[in-house]
Amino acid sequence: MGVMIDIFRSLGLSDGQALRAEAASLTDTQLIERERCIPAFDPAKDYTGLPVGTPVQDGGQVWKLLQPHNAAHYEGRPADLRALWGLCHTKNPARAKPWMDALGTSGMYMAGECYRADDGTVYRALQDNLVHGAAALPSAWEVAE
Amino acid sequence: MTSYIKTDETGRLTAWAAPGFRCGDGEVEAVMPEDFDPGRLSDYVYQGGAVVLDPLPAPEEPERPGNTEQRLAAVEAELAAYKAAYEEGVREAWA
Repeated sequence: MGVMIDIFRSLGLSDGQALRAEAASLTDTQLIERERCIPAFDPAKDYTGLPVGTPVQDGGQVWKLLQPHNAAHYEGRPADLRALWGLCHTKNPARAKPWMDALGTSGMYMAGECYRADDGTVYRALQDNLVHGAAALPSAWEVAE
Repeated sequence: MTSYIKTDETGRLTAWAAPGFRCGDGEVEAVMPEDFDPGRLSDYVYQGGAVVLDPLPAPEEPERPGNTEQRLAAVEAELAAYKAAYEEGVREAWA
């Protein structure tokens, strides 16, 4: 098992490095496709030296760094720190994330982007700048699968 | 039909020579069953001048450690360890 552990660690390292090298050029959808190569948010980590756009996973969502900062100096996680972290959405229904409220213009759903409702239904946005889900604004959404 | 055979101390066949051939030291001549299958040599015994089929009991299934739930838990633990190792590598890549 020890050899397998080393293999998986090496695989994670190479996958992570590959994504890191091209993350800045990827769309949110592409980032979420490679979510497994994205590290978990670390509330003790210093993100000061990382470039804008650096992704993390947290709370079942993928977030991109908007303002480099030291997370140890802030209370809360990306979902609470929306000025520091931007929410990623995907256009791939198979990868749709649970609904997350936008904060101002941050995290609004654009045309083609999807979310998965509590009952498992995946909805696709039919227009830009959506801040309400299908329950509140059904005309702006279609069932994606 | 007779053939030359050899047996172990219990009479179970350990060698058989096709008709017209010999087994060598320790051989005996025995009456062979019509449907003798040389591929199942150890399933035959030599009794009173004749070879008869007496199959060995099927080998018992090797015992596996633990019951199904325990094995499942072990597999899940192994997968979790691999996942944790992968995630550790990812963290390192982004450090």
